Amino acid sequence: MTQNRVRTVNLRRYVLRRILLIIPVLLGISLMTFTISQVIPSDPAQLALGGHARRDQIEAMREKLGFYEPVYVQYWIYLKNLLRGDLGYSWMNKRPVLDNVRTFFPATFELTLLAMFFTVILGTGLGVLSATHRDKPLDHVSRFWALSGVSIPIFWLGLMVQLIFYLRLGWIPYGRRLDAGISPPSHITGMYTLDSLLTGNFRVFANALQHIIAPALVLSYASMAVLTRMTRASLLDAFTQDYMKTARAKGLSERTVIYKHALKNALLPTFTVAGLQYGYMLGGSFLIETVFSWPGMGRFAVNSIIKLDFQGVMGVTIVIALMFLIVNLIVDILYALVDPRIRYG
Amino acid sequence: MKLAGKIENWRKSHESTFKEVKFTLHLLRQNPLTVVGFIMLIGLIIIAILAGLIAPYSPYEVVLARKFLPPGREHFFGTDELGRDIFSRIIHGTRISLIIGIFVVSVSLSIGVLVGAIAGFYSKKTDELLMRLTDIFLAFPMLVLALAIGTALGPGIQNAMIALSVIWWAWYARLVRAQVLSIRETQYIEAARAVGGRDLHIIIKHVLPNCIAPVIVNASMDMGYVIITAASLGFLGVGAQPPMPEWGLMISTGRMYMMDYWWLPTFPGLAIVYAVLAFNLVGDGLRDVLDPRLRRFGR
Repeated sequence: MTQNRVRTVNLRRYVLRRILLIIPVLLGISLMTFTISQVIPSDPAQLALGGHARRDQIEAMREKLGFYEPVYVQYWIYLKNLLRGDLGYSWMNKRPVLDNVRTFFPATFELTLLAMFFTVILGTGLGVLSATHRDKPLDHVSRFWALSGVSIPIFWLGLMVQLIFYLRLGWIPYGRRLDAGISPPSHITGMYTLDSLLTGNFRVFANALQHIIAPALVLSYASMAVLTRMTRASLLDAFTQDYMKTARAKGLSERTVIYKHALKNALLPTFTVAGLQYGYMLGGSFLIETVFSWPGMGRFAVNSIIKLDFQGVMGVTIVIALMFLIVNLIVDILYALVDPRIRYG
Repeated sequence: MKLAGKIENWRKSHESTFKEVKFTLHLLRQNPLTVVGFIMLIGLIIIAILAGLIAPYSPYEVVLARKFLPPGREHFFGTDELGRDIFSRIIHGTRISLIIGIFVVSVSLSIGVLVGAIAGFYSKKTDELLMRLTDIFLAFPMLVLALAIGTALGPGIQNAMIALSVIWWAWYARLVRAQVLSIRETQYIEAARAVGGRDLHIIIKHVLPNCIAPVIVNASMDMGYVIITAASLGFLGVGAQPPMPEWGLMISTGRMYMMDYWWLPTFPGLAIVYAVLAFNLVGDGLRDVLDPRLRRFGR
């Protein structure tokens, strides 16, 4: 009873500390993006006023934007704007960057979420198979596969998938989130697969699924490989531990020993790696969204780069860093829930 | 005579090192995949050095009369939208990718080792400050930050290399710091201190040599990772600019004609896979061999 209370209190303290630790990281992120923005050779005053502004108007705008203040004052202004959700103005499509992020975020989130799902399920699954069939053909295949995963550039893999499965075989549609004739489901979360399910629109659901499967699988490929390697290694490590001998000595079946005892312990480090891999996927989404014409934040950012719309790029960079931060926070907290050693450590 | 004696002395004093290197090479030869990796890597380096001799055509020469030729005897990998020989371009691209890899890894390694050693060796305050600094760099997904910095600096291969180095050092700093922290408390460091060794001397002579193994393994793997990331930047338009025969950029332009001429993006991609696989195989083999836990007893 008391034991349990101590645990809850400790857990609460750990979670609170972990959340507070976010603040310096957030400041760090803003400092980094501020520094990069200072280097960028563009003039926000000119951008805000458009090409026909007179010299004195631009001067006045610069004054207003705080251009002639000392750097730390400029940073303070920048920080205040960020806290209000002001990510700047994208002149590429004449909208605030935040509005763009709102439009494009669900597509990216849906894509990375599904890719994460594939990574965890297939990655750990293959890792377990590889470890339990150690040095058998299956193990060699999965090890080779893991090696290829970290050696193949995903943007190229995406193109090859399109060449083979769209052009030659016609199994998948070409890019985008839905076929041209199909209108998106009514907006609930902005994620088409989920929204179509929630509204019971199965025709749209099937179509959305067809469109998302290929990019999500390609996006997850490298992370899957990393996770397969991790799971295999930590499972093999767990096999040598004493508790395995104990479990076997108790007469438990091999299945129970592997799945209940070894896997439970081996999956913990895999879990943390999965969180880090989400960051990799957010970066990969820039490439995959470009290859598959997926209208998400990554594609928006890449288009902004091409059009030299720097505020769009920086806005997405901040949002991506935030997503990365939050996912790792969630992973850490889940980790603490599962592994009591963390809280007392 | 005097020189011969000196050499003999030097050889004697380094005998244990020679033995260790010999043993390492012996272990490396045990793993067929590692050997394959080394052969692939040597091939890659030879191609890069002799690119001008190996490539049958100029990588830049535009011959519109022979554009979009499929792979064949004249052009092994076909020709692109400007009639340039894709095989020759890929051969010359090897040089670019290797230079990017070597530059980024060595620059970030130097900065990372310096920062990591200082953070691990000196006071808690210095450590805290430097580690919070690396945290900022590690708070972003690698490719996203590289894109942002690359965009700020302007497109171009040099800027892409700078952008990657500016980010990459943080990983080495972390790695070296962790190593230094564990070494700092060992008895031989205490002994070196007791006989009056200065900090710099201790770091260079005793601390760094002992944390070199994981750094080498990481550097080898990172060569592959840098090559992929640089190609990604090229693909997105931030890295190399036309007409440079950079693999990522070649895939990017090839993509526009992919539906009719599959060979345009396919072969540069295979080149990337080959190069990165070589570094990964070597890195994998080195890890198994240099890890003291795996070293003496086998796996």
